[in-house]
This record gives sequence, structure tokens and C-alpha cells, in this order.
Amino acid sequence: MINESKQHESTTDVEAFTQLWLSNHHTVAAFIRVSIRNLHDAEDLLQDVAREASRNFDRFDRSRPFSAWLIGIARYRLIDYFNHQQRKNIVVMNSDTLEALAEAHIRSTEQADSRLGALRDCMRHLPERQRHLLRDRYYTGLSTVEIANRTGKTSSSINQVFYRIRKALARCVEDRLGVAQ
Amino acid sequence: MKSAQPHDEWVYAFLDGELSEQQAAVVEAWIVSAPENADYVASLAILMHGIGEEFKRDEISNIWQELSDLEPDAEHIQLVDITNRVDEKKKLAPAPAPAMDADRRGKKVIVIPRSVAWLTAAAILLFGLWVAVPRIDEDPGSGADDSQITQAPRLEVQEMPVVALLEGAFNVRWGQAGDTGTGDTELEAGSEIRAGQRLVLERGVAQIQSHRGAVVVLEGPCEIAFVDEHRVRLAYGRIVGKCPTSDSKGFTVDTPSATIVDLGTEFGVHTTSEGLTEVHVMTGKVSLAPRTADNEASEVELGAGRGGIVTSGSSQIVEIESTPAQFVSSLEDASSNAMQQYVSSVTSLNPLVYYRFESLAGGVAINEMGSKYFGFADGAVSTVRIGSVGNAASFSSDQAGHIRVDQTISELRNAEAYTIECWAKPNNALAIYGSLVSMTTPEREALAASGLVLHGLSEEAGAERGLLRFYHRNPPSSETGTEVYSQRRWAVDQWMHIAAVKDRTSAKLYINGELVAVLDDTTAFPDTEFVTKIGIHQTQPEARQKRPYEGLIDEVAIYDRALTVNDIESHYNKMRYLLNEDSSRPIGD
Repeated sequence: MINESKQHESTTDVEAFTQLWLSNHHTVAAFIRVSIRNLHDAEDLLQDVAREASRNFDRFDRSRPFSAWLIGIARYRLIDYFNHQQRKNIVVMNSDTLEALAEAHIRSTEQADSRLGALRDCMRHLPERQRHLLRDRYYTGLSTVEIANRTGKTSSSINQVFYRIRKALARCVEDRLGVAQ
Repeated sequence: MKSAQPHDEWVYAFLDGELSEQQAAVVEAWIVSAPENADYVASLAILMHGIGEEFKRDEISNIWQELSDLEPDAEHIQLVDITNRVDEKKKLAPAPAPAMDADRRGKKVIVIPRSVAWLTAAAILLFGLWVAVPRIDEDPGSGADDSQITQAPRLEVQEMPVVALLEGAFNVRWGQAGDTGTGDTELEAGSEIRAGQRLVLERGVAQIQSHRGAVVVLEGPCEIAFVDEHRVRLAYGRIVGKCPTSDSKGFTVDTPSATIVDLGTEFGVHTTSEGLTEVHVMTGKVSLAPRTADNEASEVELGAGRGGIVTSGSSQIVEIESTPAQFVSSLEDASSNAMQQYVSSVTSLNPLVYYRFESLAGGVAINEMGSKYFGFADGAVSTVRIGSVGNAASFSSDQAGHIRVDQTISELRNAEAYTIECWAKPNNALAIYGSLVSMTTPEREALAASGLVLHGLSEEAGAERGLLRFYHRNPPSSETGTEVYSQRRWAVDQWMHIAAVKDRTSAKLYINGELVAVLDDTTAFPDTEFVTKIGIHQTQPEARQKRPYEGLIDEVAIYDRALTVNDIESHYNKMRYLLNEDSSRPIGD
């Protein structure tokens, strides 16, 4: 009986964790991504956060926001990562900036889903060429220099194109959120 | 504390990790200056993350479709296969994959740990459902707001009008330029400058004339963009504006903290990445107005010989005397024997020794000031060419390379004032110490008299990690005397000008023309025999404090007098655009 009860509790925990993770991981992923330049390192660190959170889920105080807990874990992981980078003489984000962005991401959690929904709508209206560029940059992980080489453009002109696409997407998202509210 | 609003473009580039260290620092300072700035960046970060997720979602959505057709008992195997397939698709693009073992790459797509396999499956299923539901509900015909479609991005790059011409450049290295999409990454004399084109001058001097006759002399590092033929936006750095014609009158310079309008004149502007703007009027008049959020700050008119300082977000103008010497006012100034001017300036101050390291032939470092006090190279020391500056000495710590002057520089004995000056570009941050110049008593080199040492950036360097130290000891010793530490860290791979000045009352340390530390000390240079070493502290095989330096050193001069602030500033200003590629923000600031 005791074993069954524990197993039930454990199953419930895992389901609860999975649901919470799926609802909040975009915020923590965005927080890590903005803090680390290397896309692959960011993915690894997100995975570490997921692993640590799942292992320590029993310590999570459910009266508090899950996103704040996750970002707290991510923050410590990032500090470790930064220390390691600094030993290799790689310049990393200032600790004050990290703190400010952690707080901002916690505040942004509630809006994250609506933002992503709006973004989905906006991206549907992007011309295929721009979608390709975004895919190369943000999914495949090519640098702007690599994209420039592939497209025969200069990296500065590619940077400018990216700036305009992202700016337009951001404006489109804000407009849609404005309409929704 | 408020911080200057960076270009929006920078904020996006920051999120992409594509800013230089200096630019990133500007954005970071702005982020921490107000919670709403951090909120803005967080909202964009979600967006950028979401873009990648959208493509991942498409991929997983396809996988979900295939997964639903699979036999239940094959689920685990298929999950692994699918995971790898997603990566396979990513590999189709010729992206240089980072060094990573196959097992780690296999885990990339699924974030939940593989050790909890069924949890992984549940996450995928839930994620798949989360992905699938909106697709079922969405009706492109009814849900989309067509009015928004017209606001979808218009991404064609429009060619902006040509507003100025690059007249010439000296010893320049351009950063990313050609932001109008014209593709000009290499600018040369005669290149057309378009409105909105961002010009990043990493080093050297360039001269541009606008189509209305205003001449702008840029000194690297700086970043500028012509808004039109009558207005520029200076993000950081030094420029001189000259408006010789009536048509060019009214030429305007915007900086993050001020607006400067020419009233028929020649003037210099220096803006730092922290948003501080200095204006110095050489001739005629300018109007200077702080840029504040409410646009209510009043402007002042500054005449010849006057200047003003404005800090970011402040409506106050601090009026100062103009110091035009800090600006390069023409291309001719920059290119006409700039190096000779530096050498003349140093030699006119009669240093006791001046090592330029133009040659180390036969292992000899010539003293430009006479036939004595020659240095002798030992170990891994060589000369390397540094553009128009000539050669510098390159030191390798592996073999404790150094230059040694065995003959005591006798004029220094008992000198009430002296100065050690040099340029250094260290390249080993991990060393615990790197001795630039060291003067120790000859016998077993046991007792230090004076010197300059860099403390490394590694943790082992302790509390003084990353600082520059000037030590002065009378009597010579290992511990006593005055230790003056710079209050900011040095930067790897960046040239810095160093001057350690001991006068009758104090020991001072200057970096890049700025006084960075001072302590009282009334003692003179010790009356002792000593050995001078460059690039190492001690050379004896059994010595415990060798402290080998790794990097470049140039233009070492030792004087039996205290150089003035003006001397030091002048030396720094004469050479900085020849040497410095990016000296405006040492690491750790």
C-alpha cells in the first residue's frame, strides 16, 4: 500500500512537473538565450536546468510562481557558466544585467504565451524569403556572416535585413497584443 | 542612475550576441538603469526565442503526425530516431557544428532528461498536443486580421541618398559598415556615404565631407552615421566638425546626451559609451543643448576657447576651457609623421633611456638617448611590426623572454622625481603576474627598488586581480614602500599607455592619460645599484618571483623627472589612434 501510494504521488509529481515545465520553459529558455551568446551552450544549459528542476521538484514551494523558481535555478547555472567562461578570458554578461533580466523575465511570464501566439500569427505573414532567413538564423543556428556568405550579401546588409524583420515582427506582435487587450 | 538609450538596432544585436564588447556594455548599462528597459529586452528575448521555437514547432508537429501512426511498443525507438532525425535536418544546412559528441547532439531537441524516459515521452506528447490544438482551431480565413497584414514587414532594402564623401583615411580599420545595405564594408577615399549608413571606425583617422561642405574628421574608435547632409549621429568616440562655408553653417551633431549645432566654426566632440559628451570649440561658436526626456533643457552658446560637458540624462551643462590638443583636426595632422611627432615629444623631455625596439639585432635594444644603458635581450623576445608605429618588442612567458639593462641608470639614484612610461599590450590574462619594468638590486636581484607589474586576471591573482601596480621602495625591499594600484582592470589584447610618476610628495599611476591612482610618498629613488629589466621581474634560475610578462611592449622611456599631466595626455593622444584598436573600455569596468 505504501509503495503504491508513493508511486502514485511520484506519478502525480511528474505530471505536475511536466505541465508546469511546458507552461514556463519558454520564459526560462528566453532568459538563458539572452544571457549566453552560444546557441548550443544555451541549449545545454536549458537542459541542465530542466534536469535539476525535475530532480528537485519536491523542494519547489507550490505557493510560489514556478517560473521564478526555474529562473532562480537558471541564474545559478548561468553564474557557474560565466565563472567558467571568465577563466577562459571570455567576456560575459555583467551580474547586475543578469539580475535585472532575471527579474524582467519573471515579470514577463504571464505574457509569454500571448506573445508567442501573436508571433505565430505575424510569422505567417512573412514572405518565404524572410522565413528562410529567420530559419537559418534561429533554428539552424547559422551566424549572419555564414548567411551572408550563402546569400552573396555583405554581413552588414544581412544584419540590417534581420533588424528590419525583427523590428517589424516586434511591432506586429505589439499591435496584436494591443488589439487583444 | 539613468543610462543612455542605445540604438534599438543594438538591442536586437545584443539579443543575437552580435555586439562588440564595448557595444554590449552600453546596452547592459541601459538595461540595468531602469526596470522597464529590462522588461523591453525580456519581451524581445521571448520573441527571438519564439522565432526559433516556431520552426522547431513545425518540425515537431510533423513528427507528431508520424508518431500517431506508430505501433505503441515501438514508441521509445521511434522517439530516439525522431530526435536524431530532427538533428539530421538541421545538419543539412552547412552550419559549422560546435565540437560536441554524438550523444549530446542526440539529446538536443528534447529538453527533459533522457534518464526519465517516460517523462520525456509525456513531455513530447503534451508538447505535441499544445502545438496541435491551436492549429486545429485556427482558421486562416476568419482568425487573421487583414489590416495587420498590411503592417507585415516591408523588408526590401531601400537605397538611401548619398550625403557625403570619404575624402581620405589614415591607418584605418573599419568595422561593420554600409548599413544601408549597399554592401560597402571596405571604405576608401572617394567612397560615397549614404544617409543612415553606420560607420564604425575601429582605429585610425578618416575625413568626410558632407555635400553641404561640412568636414568631419573621425578618430577611431568611433561610430557615426549621417542622418542627412547636415546632421550626424555620434554614438561614441571623437570627431572634429568644421563648417567653412555658409551652406554648412548649422551642421548638427547628435550624441546620446547632447545636441551640438554649429554656428560657423570648428569644434571637437568626444562622447563616451557611458553617454558623457564633451564639446570643445576651436574657432567661432556652437550651441550645446543636453538631450533630456522632456526636451526642456536649455542650450548654451560656447565661443572659441570654451567647452562644455553634458552627462547622460542630465539637463546641466558644465562649462570648461577648451582643450583642442586632444583632437585630431585634419587628416594631414594625423598622417604627417605622426610617429615622428611622438618620438620628438618624448625625446624633447630628455628621458634617461628610451627603448623603441625598432630592432633587436644582435639581441641589443638601443637606447635612443645615447650610447649607454643599452638593453640586452634574453630568451624569447622578438620584434613585431605594428603598422605605421614601427616595431614593438614581443615577449613570451614560456621562455621568460626579457630585456635586461645591467648598468645602473645612475641619474636615478637619489632622484627626487622620476617617471616610467611605456605602451603595453598584454595577451595572457591567465598569468598571475607580468612584470613590465622592474628595477632590483643586482645581488640575487633580491630587493626591488621600483617597477610596474600587471596582476593577472585569474583567481590566483587574489584581491589585486586584473590591476596594474606601480611600486616604489626606498630603501629597496620586497615588501615595503608604496604600492599604487590602478582602480580599474587592464584589458587583454589592447594597447594601453602607462605612466608611473614619482614626484617629491606622491606616487601616481596613469593609464591612457588618466590618473587612476595616487598615494603619498615623500621618499626619493633609492641610492643603490640596480638592474633594470623589461618583461620580467627576476631572472636568476632559482628566483621565486620571475613574473614573466607575455605580450607586446613599446616605447619604454624612463625619466629623472616627473612628467606633467599634459605631457602624459599629449603622449597618449599622439599615439592612441596609431596603436589602439579598442581601448575605451578595459575589461572589468
